[in-house]
Amino acid sequence: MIPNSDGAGIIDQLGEGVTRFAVGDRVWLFNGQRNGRAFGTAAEYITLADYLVTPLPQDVSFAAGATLGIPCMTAWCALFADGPVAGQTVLVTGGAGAVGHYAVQLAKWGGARVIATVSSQVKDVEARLGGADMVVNYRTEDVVAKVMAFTENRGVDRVIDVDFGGNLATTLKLMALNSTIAVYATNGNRTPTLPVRELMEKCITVRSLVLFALPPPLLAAAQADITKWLESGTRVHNIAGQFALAETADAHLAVEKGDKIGTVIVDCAR
Amino acid sequence: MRAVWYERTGAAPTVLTVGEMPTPDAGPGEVRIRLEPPASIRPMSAAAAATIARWSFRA
Repeated sequence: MIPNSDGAGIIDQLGEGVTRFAVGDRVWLFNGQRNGRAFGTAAEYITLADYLVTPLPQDVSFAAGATLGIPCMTAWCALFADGPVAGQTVLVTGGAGAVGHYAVQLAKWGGARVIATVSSQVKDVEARLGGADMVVNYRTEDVVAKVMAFTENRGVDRVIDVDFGGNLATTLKLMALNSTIAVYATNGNRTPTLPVRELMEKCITVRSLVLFALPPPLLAAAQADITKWLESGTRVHNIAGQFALAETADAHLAVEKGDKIGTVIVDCAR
Repeated sequence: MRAVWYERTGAAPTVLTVGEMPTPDAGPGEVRIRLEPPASIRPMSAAAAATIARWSFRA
């Protein structure tokens, strides 16, 4: 197995029947080492089905392109799989994380009011740089009180949630009627008890997802919209660290350590 | 091509190997991508190029 699933580069060879790309195109990719494919992006080259590959706008660097991948696709799908967010209030938990930071930026671009939760002062600054209208430190502040005050006791329409199980007790207290919790991770508690009656009384939808199981038309919509978003302004792509290809093990240790802000990237030409 | 791989699971430093393997060819419906160095020079935007062109003209 060659690890790592995201990356950016230049199209170097076209397989039979490929018409969407030309040799020399700048691109970014996601789901490289996924869905049964053994060979990911910790290499000089990758071959991949063309629908997992997206043109990279000229003024977006390869480093930024390499951070998009699964985090940006996951953020878009969690946000927009259930319709537009214009005029809604969106809460992004972990608003400085790899997915969360893209979710904050995409939600703002989509016309939402955005609240982010974070765990430190540094991450507070990051979430604000992404465009969050309000940032709450969940370690030191009362998340429910701050969110309810911000929404004039209405609650939020969407939650983009990095820890469904761990956050559920808090989340249920700040949901508006007819709202949606979009779950893309739940490491704090993988088997939470669901108070279904409470969900019913507020007509709350739980939308859970992993990127590799979503339908291709939704992925295509995400790619097209992310391209529009990249082309329509300056975006923040947080790079937590950079390693040479031969130092891939160190790159993995940096990710496993858990205190990074942004995405760790590998220079495959070095 | 140069690549990093593992043949059994375990702590990254103990199982990852750096070496050479055959460069794959793109199959039907696939593309081959040369993964680019992240530190490569950021390509100039059209707006920046136009600005520099104006400076050059004035000079």
